[in-house]
Amino acid sequence: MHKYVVRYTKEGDAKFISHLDFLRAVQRAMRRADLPIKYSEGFNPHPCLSFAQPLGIGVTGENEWFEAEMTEEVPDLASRLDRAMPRGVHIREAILEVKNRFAAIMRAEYLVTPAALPEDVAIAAFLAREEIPIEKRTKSGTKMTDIRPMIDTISRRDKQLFMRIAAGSAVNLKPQTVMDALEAYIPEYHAGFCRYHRLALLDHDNQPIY
Amino acid sequence: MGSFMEELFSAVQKPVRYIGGEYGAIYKKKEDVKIRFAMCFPDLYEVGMSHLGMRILYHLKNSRSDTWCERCFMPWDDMIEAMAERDMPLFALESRDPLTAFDMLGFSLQYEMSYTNVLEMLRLARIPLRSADRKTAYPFVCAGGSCAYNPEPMADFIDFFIIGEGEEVNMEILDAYSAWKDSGAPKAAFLETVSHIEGVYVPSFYEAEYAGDRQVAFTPIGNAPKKIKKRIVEDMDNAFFPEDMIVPYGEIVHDRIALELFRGCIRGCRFCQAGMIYRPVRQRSAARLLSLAEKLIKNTGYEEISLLSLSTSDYTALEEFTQELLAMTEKRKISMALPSLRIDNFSMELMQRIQKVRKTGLTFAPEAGTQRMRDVINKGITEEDVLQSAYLAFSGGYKSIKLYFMIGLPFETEKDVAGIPQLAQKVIETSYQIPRQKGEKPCTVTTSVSSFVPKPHTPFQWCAQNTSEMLREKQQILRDACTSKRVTLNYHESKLSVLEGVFARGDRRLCKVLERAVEVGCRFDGWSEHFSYERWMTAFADCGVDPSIFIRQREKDELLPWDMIDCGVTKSFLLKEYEKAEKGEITPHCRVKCSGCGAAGFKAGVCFA
Repeated sequence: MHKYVVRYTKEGDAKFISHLDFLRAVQRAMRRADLPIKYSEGFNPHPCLSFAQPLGIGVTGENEWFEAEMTEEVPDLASRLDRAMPRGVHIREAILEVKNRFAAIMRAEYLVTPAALPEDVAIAAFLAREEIPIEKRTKSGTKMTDIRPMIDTISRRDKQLFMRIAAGSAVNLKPQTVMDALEAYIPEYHAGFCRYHRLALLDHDNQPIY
Repeated sequence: MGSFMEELFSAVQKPVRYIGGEYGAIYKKKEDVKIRFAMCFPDLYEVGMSHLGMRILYHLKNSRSDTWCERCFMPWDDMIEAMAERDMPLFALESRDPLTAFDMLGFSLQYEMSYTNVLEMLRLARIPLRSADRKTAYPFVCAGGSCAYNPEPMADFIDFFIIGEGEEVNMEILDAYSAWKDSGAPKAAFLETVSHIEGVYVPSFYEAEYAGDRQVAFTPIGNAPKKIKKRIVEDMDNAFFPEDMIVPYGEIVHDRIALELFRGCIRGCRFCQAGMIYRPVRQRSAARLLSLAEKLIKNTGYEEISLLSLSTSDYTALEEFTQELLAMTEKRKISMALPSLRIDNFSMELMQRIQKVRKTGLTFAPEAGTQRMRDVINKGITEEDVLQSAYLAFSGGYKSIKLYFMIGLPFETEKDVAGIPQLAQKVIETSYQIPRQKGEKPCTVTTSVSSFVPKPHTPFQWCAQNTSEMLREKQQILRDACTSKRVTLNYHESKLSVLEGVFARGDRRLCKVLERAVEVGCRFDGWSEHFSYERWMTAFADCGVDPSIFIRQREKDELLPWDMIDCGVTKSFLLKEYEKAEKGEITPHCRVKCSGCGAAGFKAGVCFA
């Protein structure tokens, strides 16, 4: 068995594809690329595929990862798969036989481009709060959650906001939630339409997982 | 800051319905083409993309270097709202240009209750609804599909209809358009040209007269043809079929490769419009199907393939063909779906092989509850056939069976209605003979009962349709007679069926009703969350049109609004079948004996086998 860790980018309108739809699109692209796919056992075999961290609807990404299993080595896997991908999705590289570090993901870095970002938005004061409780919708009504511990940093980068926030299977914070909180706690701030872009998936030491 | 379209897509729940860009979608430069065609489907993306005809015509038109064919679907409520907030007109998926930028719009008419969506799409595109109000600046609006076999309720809105199969006639129309565009002649000149292409109906070239509840005259103006003969593809092996298809992201209704085995049906069930209008039966050869399957599997990456036809079991080489297809699909881990299969030993074995463990459910369509009624509708199966199939299925491990029936059929008695739950009961009883393991769930039967809608070009086109009161009474009989806990009964909203019947057999007097219905907010009428009978009744009342005149019994010598459409099957044959139905006489299928329906005039398929 040959496990490949594959880096991809999702740009433009491809960000509107939900994770479930995207998973299906990748499976079909793998078939189109005619790769020696390793299928799962059982009565309904599907390609063995796992994703590092799903991208939410409306978020683009440039260092996204999935792992795919092949029954034999495929030296040109990245280029073959890239050609079979739908618009806006590109396969950048495929690394053979490395340790799967998807479980090591602790944080993610995002670049948010809000329609409005005045010079004086009080980000420092926002981060100085000990608690940032926000309302989260659950199956049975709403619940207050403190997101302050999930925020590592938020800083301005010209007309954009850079943020490093919790990601992974244990604790995961959406950048949209952070923007909602900014608007909620800075009453005079209205971000307007925001564009979200994920830069990297990081481990415990804030190092990229690959 | 986000771009305009980005903000629009972000405002809706399912943006994949609108973004395009799927694998296989076709992008051209607008400067490079002479004709821009927008294929419009008056329902959601998920429904429209599941329609094989739409996919065939999309790739066919795009095979021309002078044409770019794009897609447009009816947007859902959230998108309509988001577009209105931004003052944005309806746009095509590929170029995102408004529909007004196109040369021609082609609507697919598959269901009468989608007519309001056609008008709503035109309204959203800011195109005048009526052909007469669309002067030079607007695109031509054409329509095709099974509902076009009675085009009259949409006559005021559509410039021309395409009757029959589109593979050849669409190309002829595009050729004519190309020549017309060069000529600089007025719009009427193009319509005049296409009116002489076989299969094209230009409603503005005809006058219809009405007296009381009926149509009394239908007159061509000038030299428009008296009859419009439907188009067919004579040789299925040489007919265009795409070898590359769009692979949608979102889960559409039929999300798989559809391999079309044949067109038409040999059976001749008297209620079935498809069984009449698609005659004669024409098959694709197994060799052509296998080669198509191989290419489609390779080019789409789909994990499932489905065989498409009106009656899979009637494909003459089914056994050999499925063996070879299975050899191909099993190797590639592709699953196979076999709809419309009659249940016998062969098909049970086949199904055992294709779906080794997921034995979910099987569907049979006895259509009627008593033998007399099944003879009336010419459904050539007996109770024994049904029970034998059920026993085979249950003993083969299936846990549930779904049965399809209709009420409101012509010459129906209370006994026939009560026969439906009685047959369902007998079906569930076949499972009692099969030993059950401890803890194993008992088998169940779901009985789905729809209300019959008489359709044009069928032997029942003259029949009175049951009113919603009559249908509700029959539904009560069903409920009373259905006693077993293992038999579930489902039936449909009777008012929706009645409206469907009004438009199925309607005429031009319904155009203003449709226009009014859209004004008062009717759209997505096939979707229960949108359908409002009250709104419809308001529209009828406002226009002074009595809907009941369209579902009444028609006289045998009456001029029918769709008589100018020649689908190949003759009116005299349909009348003979209607008379045989009354006597409960059956007609054998095409391969047993030719019944002289008229379709042999096409000189193709089963008629010359």
